[in-house]
Amino acid sequence: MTARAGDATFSGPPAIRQSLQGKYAGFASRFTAFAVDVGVSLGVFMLALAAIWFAARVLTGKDIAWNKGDIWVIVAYAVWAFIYFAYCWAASGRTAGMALFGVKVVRDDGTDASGRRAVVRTLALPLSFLFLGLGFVGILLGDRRRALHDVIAGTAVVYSWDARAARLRFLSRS
Amino acid sequence: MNALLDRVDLNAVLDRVDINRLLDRVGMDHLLGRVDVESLAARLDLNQLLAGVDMNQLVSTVDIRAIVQRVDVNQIVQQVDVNQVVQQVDVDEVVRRVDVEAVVDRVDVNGVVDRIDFDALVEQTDLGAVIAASSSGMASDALDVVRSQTVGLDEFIARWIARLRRRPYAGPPGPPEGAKAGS
Repeated sequence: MTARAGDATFSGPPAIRQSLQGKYAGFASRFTAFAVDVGVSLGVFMLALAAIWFAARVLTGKDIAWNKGDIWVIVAYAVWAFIYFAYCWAASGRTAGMALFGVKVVRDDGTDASGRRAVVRTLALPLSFLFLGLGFVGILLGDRRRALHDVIAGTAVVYSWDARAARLRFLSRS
Repeated sequence: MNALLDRVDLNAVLDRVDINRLLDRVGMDHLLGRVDVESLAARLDLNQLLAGVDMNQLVSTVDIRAIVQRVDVNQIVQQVDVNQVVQQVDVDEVVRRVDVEAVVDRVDVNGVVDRIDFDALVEQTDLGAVIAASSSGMASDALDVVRSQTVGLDEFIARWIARLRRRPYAGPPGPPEGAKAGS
């Protein structure tokens, strides 16, 4: 992808003419980042299952039949997802998807999120999916763009990339 | 003679004298010409004379504004050799006495920066080359494009939500109150 490909993008949204750093992230950025995270965590989990299957076959000569309906597979994935999100948010405030889309989790006062808040946020995340995802409405309608799990954990999601610097890089090459 | 003068009523005589006619007959120019003004002035003690003058009272009666209005300032200024005046000024000394910190404190740097058209700056100067040289290349470009596309979508959604709620939309909200500058 080249700078030319971004031509329409950079001349389009007025918001990226200013630095977005620290401003509350919007729904699309957060949703796509989460989708990437689900993909990454699922991919890593399936790779781990495949590795276990391969190791079992080599060691025992028997195949392990994975069934995604198995309760222990679901529990194992839930534990893995908890570790993935909680660790990433506690360590740097961003998961792989969030790093890709330039957003990060901070405390509601803008300072770095602590480990405790990261754990609470991870545990509260499923609550936002209840009632057809009603907990996410706050991102669309709230003044601070916070979902239910953000409110519970005392966190917010902000842009962490410098849009103006990106635009200047683009202009410097065009 | 003295007896005669004693009998003359000088006041009555002076009453009958027409002073104006007398002065008309006197050649004042001839009279003043015989006066040695320089000698007269030399005998005057001007310091003593001025000591008796209430200068404040005198100045208070002068209409300074009227005097200033009659002065052609432009003409005076035209006669001033500004270059010569400036040459006599010790600029280094003046600059040394300026409290630069105080001046800078009074400048709204953020306001100045906001007024800079960075797009035009980068396009028209070598600054663009510097920025291009400092960036990391294709991966960074791709990331910028992906992020900016997503931000565009964020803004599109936010504008529509604001329109449905009949509220003005002025860009992404934030940052949080405790956020570090530039973070």
